[in-house]
Amino acid sequence: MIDAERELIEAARAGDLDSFGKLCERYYAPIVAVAYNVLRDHQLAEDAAQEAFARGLVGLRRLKEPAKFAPWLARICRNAAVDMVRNRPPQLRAEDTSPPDDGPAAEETTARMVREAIARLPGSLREVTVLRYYHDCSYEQISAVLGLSKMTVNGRLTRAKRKLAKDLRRRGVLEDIS
Amino acid sequence: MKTDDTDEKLDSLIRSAIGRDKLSFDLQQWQRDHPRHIDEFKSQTRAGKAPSASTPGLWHRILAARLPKVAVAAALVLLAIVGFMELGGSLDGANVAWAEVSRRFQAVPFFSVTIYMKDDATAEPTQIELWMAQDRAIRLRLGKQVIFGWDGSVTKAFDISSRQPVEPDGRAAILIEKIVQAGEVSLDAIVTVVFGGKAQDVTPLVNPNAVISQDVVVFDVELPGSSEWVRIWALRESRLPVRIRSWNPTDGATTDAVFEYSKGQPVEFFDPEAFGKLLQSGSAASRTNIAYAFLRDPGGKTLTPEEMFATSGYHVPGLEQVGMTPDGAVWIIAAQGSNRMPNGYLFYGFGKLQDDLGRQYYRVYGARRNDGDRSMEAFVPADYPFDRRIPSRLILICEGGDYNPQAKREIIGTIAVTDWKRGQSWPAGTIGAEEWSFRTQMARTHCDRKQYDQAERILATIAGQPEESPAALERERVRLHLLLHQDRFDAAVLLSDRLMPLLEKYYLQWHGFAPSPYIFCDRIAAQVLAGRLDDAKQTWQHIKALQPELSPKLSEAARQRIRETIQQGFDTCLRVLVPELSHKGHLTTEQLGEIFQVTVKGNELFKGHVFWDWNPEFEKPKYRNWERHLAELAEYYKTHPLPAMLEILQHTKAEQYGIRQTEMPGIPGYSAAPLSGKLKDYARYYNQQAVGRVRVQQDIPDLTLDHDVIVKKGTPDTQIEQLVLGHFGLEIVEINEPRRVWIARYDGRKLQDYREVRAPVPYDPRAAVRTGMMSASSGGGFDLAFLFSQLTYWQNNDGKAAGPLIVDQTGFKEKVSSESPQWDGTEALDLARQWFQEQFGITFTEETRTVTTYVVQKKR
Repeated sequence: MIDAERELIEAARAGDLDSFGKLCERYYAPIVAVAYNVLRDHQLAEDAAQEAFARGLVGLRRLKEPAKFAPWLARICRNAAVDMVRNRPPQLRAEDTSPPDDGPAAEETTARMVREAIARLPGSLREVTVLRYYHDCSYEQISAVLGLSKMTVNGRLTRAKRKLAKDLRRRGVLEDIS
Repeated sequence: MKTDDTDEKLDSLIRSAIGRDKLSFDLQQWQRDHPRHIDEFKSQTRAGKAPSASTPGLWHRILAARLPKVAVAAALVLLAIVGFMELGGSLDGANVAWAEVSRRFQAVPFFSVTIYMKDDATAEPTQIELWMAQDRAIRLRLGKQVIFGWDGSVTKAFDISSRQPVEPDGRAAILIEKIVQAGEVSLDAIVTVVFGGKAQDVTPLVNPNAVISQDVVVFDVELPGSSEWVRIWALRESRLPVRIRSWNPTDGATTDAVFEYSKGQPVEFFDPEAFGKLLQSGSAASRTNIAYAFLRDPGGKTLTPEEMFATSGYHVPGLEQVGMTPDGAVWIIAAQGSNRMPNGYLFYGFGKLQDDLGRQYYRVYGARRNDGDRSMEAFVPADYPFDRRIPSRLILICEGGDYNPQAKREIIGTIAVTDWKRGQSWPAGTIGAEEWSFRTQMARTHCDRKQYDQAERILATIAGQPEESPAALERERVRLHLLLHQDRFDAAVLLSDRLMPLLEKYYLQWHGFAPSPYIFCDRIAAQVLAGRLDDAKQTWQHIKALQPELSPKLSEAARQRIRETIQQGFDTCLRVLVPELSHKGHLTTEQLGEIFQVTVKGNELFKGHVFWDWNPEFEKPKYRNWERHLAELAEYYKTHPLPAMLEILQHTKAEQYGIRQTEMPGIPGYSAAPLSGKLKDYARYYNQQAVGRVRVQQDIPDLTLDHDVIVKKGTPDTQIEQLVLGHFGLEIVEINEPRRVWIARYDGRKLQDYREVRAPVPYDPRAAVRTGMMSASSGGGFDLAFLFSQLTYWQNNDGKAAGPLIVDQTGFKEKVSSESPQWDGTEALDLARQWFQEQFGITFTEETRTVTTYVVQKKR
């Protein structure tokens, strides 16, 4: 953790709301991505992230290790997202209610199949994938939020992509991958 | 294809599938969206709750706080819980089994714990139910309180009995505070404080002798410097602690905590606002519903009457037998006779009867047998026992819903019956009443409706002397009631003198149930209203001293219950008699207190009652403020007579006023009243006779009134309004203009009882009042003039005087509805037309007529 961030955290813990706001700005994208990994809905993911910031703000004084601020926040966000899933009324998926027509555009079909393939990844690989591609989070951001080393992040991403490629090739989305 | 190309393509595919641009955080908006959290954060800062590296001496601080013993014990258990969480992870290798217990506990998203505490070996235990989520949101049930906590503070506490927010029980506040304090405790502090400072001894030691089964693991913790010890039971398989006990061998004080784990509860469960709203709803009638509101059993079992209702819903009872007596009473026996409402109350049977002759029926008997859940009911027509017509069809209507008269009752189902036992009484062992009691009941009903002749006509059909026949005694009791209704108090006293020995004899004899002192109420009322206050006092003291005979077969517990029921009966007498006699006899609360040997003011028995000489509402400071202010004004005007008919003075103090009287003390002919709210709103209500015909120009000043208006008595309201508006630079101009007018006409149909008529949209106390929902209700009912004026008011309440006006050509003056709907917005018009047509046979035709409009505008 860079010193500037430590200063922001200490200032926030001392009651400086603006410093906390700067931390939120810094981690907004990866934190939303963490929520998206659970919720798979852009709007809800943003809601969960903002809820996590609110919970984090009032729980800041319980943060024992400032160096672990980002993973701490990510954990709160994950919980907030899980709460939202738990408390969300069961809904029909858009596909269930769409009237039959000529079929979705080819691009949309591919995107859906890719999303489904990501959803089939093991949890640890899926989360790192979503963070990487959801908003192009850097390895540094991902490692900060997940509390992992950059090497671990890289390893997980590599394995995730390998699995995805294999899955998508089997489904004819990436037929020319060797 | 090269690997790089594949990677690129895959990257592109993933990015286009889930990627997202322009994700930016709006701090300002976020702050606006989370005011509660921001406030909480700021208050933490103000309170100096800055984090610290460790909190040494916590246990000593808890002890030093001189808490009630039970709170200390609970804090001990909860410290132990937090200790598990804090210790998790750091004990790897030292004692694997214990570390696993800690780790598993830490991973639980939600747990509940029921804590039983007793102060010594023979004390009755106190129970606390505590639920806690991972984010440390806490909810407690302690005694009659439900308490919410968050981040170490009590956020709100409610009383289950009064359904009101209350000050939290001190023990709960301490508990919630300590839990979060413990959350700050570092491992070192836990070691030092809770477990005596010896790192090697921190890990609770497995005690294999404490169990006979290998299903559980038992750990013991010795507390250094104390004889107290703690034992923890954990499941061997799941490694979760299921029970903790602390024991003090010196006095036998124990605390037992039983744990339960689940996946979590709905967010409302920890939300005091949601809980507060629930208290305003119908389901709050059940204490079980309140105590466990929003709690979901992880195993899917029902926990509350509300859930029972949600699971089972309502059903129509299964009809077994129907018959009609020679006098025309209809009796109904049904299986599965009871239904349970969401608030936990039971109702049984059908509740309502109609026939093809269009007669109105009254239910004169209703009971339920637990055995077989059988309901038994009897109904009589309005003119029972004189109406001997035989219908060809009976319609049994099962109605559910709230007992709240404002709530629309839900029809669960109906059964039409054409074949019944004619001219027969009910089978023995079913309805437990004699048929003559239906006559006296109906006589009472007529009496309460001021239909005295009809009441006497029925009573005349019951023969015999009250000394000889229970029916005749009951007949005379109704006659006594009738005399009181007719204000014939001396005659009532004479009759009650004759009845008193008979009533006393009946009260003293054992009839198989607790006797009710309520049978003496009319006797006492007669004496009080006849001015015989000392006699009334003696009667009250006499009946209080009576010792009714109880069956020797009764157990002591049953006798105790009966004694409690009798006492409740006396309380009921007081609740009914004291306010009634206050108003009817113009007796002061002191006089009534003397008769009934009770303190009236501030007595919980009379909560919500208003008395002839005293209204608890007037004890509020705002009324005292006004009394003082009025006296100050009077002092001023004694030496400064009103220069004109009216004067307006601005308030000099920022205080609330509650108005009880407007006449100035010591200055006959002067009165004062406060002006408050917006000037525009005051203008809108100009001239109560001109509803819908007041137009307030938009450019009048946006002024908030904070004044007194002092006037000479007898000044007409409209003149006062003109003068007040004039004082603020406004004038009223009358113009004649064409307006849309609805002509109301009535088709002459027979209207139903006004008590049956409700607003078109059922009232829901949990929701905001919306179009078509009841905005006012009256037990005495509303007439059409009022309903029309309300429709006109709502359609013109924007102050533009552009909505429809109503001309009443129905000629109908009687009360027609128990509710007056809200008719705001143009969308209300169709609904209003439909409602008036369906309920009253009233149709509206629209015309344009020239009418006078009062325009409130700035003085030209």
